[in-house]
Amino acid sequence: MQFSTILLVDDEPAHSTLVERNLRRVGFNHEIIKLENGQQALDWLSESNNKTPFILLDINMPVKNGVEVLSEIKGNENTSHIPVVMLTTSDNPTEINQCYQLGCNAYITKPIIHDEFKEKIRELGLFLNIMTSPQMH
Amino acid sequence: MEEKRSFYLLLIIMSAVALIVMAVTNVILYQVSFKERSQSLVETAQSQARLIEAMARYNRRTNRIDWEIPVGERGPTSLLSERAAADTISQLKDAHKNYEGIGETGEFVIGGIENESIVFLLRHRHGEQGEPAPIALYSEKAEPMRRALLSQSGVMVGQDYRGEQVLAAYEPVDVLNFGIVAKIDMTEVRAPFIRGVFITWLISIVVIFLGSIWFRRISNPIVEKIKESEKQYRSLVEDINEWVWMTDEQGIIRYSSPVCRQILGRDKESILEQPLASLIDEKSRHLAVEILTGDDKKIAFTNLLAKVLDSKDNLIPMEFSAIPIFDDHNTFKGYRGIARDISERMEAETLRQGYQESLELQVAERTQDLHDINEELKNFSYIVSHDLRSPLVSIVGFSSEIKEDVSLLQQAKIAVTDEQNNVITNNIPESLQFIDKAAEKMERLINSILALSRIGRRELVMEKVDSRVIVDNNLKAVAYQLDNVDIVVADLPIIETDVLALEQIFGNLIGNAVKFLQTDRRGQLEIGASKQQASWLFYVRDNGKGIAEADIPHVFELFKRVGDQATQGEGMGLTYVQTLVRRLGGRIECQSKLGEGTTFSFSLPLKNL
Repeated sequence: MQFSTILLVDDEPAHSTLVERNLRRVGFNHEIIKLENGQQALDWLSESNNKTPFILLDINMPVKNGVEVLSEIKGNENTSHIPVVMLTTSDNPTEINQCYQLGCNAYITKPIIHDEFKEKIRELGLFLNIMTSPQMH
Repeated sequence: MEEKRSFYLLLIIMSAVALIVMAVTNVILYQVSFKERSQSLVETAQSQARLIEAMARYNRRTNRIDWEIPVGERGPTSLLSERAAADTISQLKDAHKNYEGIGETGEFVIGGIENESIVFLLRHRHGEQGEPAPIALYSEKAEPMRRALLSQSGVMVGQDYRGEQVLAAYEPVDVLNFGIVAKIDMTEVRAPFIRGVFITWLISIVVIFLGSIWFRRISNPIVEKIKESEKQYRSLVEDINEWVWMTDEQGIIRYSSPVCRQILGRDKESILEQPLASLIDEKSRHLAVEILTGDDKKIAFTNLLAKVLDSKDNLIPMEFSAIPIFDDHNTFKGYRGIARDISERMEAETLRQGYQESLELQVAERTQDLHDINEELKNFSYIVSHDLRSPLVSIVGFSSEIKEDVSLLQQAKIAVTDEQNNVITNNIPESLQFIDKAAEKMERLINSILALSRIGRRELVMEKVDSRVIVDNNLKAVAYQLDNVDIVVADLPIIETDVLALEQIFGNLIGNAVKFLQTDRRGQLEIGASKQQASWLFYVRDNGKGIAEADIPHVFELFKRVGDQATQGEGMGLTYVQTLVRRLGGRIECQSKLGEGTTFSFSLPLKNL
């Protein structure tokens, strides 16, 4: 599968920026689209036919939270194949469990210690590479 | 009134008995005396007759009259025999002159027949001087003499020559053809008995009268006593506020204390002779009949509840207790029992139930409130910790970004002033370091809150735990700090609790104790437990720095770090311990003296609910 676009959905612009910068730093050159809530993400998906993005989804968001969005994406035939990685500051096990049951592909807690954070993003980058294109290697 | 009448009746009966007994005695005595009198009269008459005959024979012999020839064959009375008879009579008269008679009225009479008349030869006590007038041979008077002259002998009651009723013995005097009668007036015979009867009756009436007064004197106190005790028992039965009743074998009320008036509004008279069951509520009536009169073995019953109809057909709840009565032949004779009005108790009970229900409702509401608040708190701490992390991620993240950027700037060979260089190489990194440190501290605090909120969420697993093992493990964990410490571990029990929670409790308390030991003296650490009524009381005692009195109430507060702040810590440990102890159903408290040491003691229940 080929992904040209990464959807970065987080109501906290600071977090989006941090994730974006760190993705760039580990070598990502995909198009990164930053959205501020879940509804925007669903709207984007319904408007952009044929574009298969990769979605990084924050959980705590206004209007429609990450779990609801995840549930809609994975519940819809047309979008269920789209890989989704959950991002959250919480490490609540029941929440994590719920997300995996709804069909998320990975789950990342945003650590406060920045070095840890960078490490997580690096891992995410590796994950995205595997998911996207073998040419990346 | 009743017993006064019985007393008089008794008196009458006693008097009657006494009088009858006396009458009978008198009659018997009279009869005996009458017989004796008769006998003595007979003897007198006979002895007189024989004496006169002897005198007559003697006179005849001296007058040479052939007395041997029977009177009938002698023909007309000869001169001689007349003279002899006259001699005898004159001798008799002479002898009789000084004779006073028998008793008051007794005398003996000699008579003969002359011209179809009875003539009397002697002067008599009664009547005019001289001999009584002759009496016709056949008349009502002088019946005994008539019989004597007809040669009869005997005793009788009849009229004498005066026509008086007399007891008379009659005897013929053969030789002179006389008759002799010894007699006494019946009035004299009877007089002593009439007088006797009169006197004895008088005496007995007096005696009975005195006796009855005496009897009353003696019996009155007894009667009073009996009356008093009867009154006492009656008041016991009738003044208590319980209805006392008695039924016969048919279940008919035979006794009812007057209290039924107050309880049921029914007069005692109106329910006597009624079946007890007829007063009982229809629903239980059948059962009541069964119990009171059924064929089953009769046994005592207590506190049977039944509703009883009062005079206005209201149902009064009552509690019945009774014992069966049996006669000497063990035949069931009815029940004797009491019944108690329990409407007030029932009302109180209803009221109490109402209170209890509303109380339970209140408790349930409050519990729900507490539960809700607790839930909110849990969620609150969770949300707070979660939402606090988010800005931290940004702060730390961008501080790191700046660090990266600054290092890029340093590497770029840009011409800068010394001051600018100082900013880039020293000030900015130093500022970032402070930011990072502050953020790290903040993260630790947030993590603590998260951890605390997790205790409330974790499911406890109750199992048998050897607290000794847990204490030993915890001591091992801090063994490297215990070189200069004396440790005393007393007997510790095996209890049923959550092993992780207990480990954390001891871990924190022992850790704290070791952490706050004084460096200038040898440390002492004492751990033990004692059994209380429903719990184990554990303690961890040290001789460390101690806590100021004013700080003791705050030791369990969140983020509170009391005393000097030189020692590392978030101020979380004791809050954490308190939360754990509470979750296990116990309490924790702290005793301490600044500079001397601290004792933490906590209880854990013997049994978990």
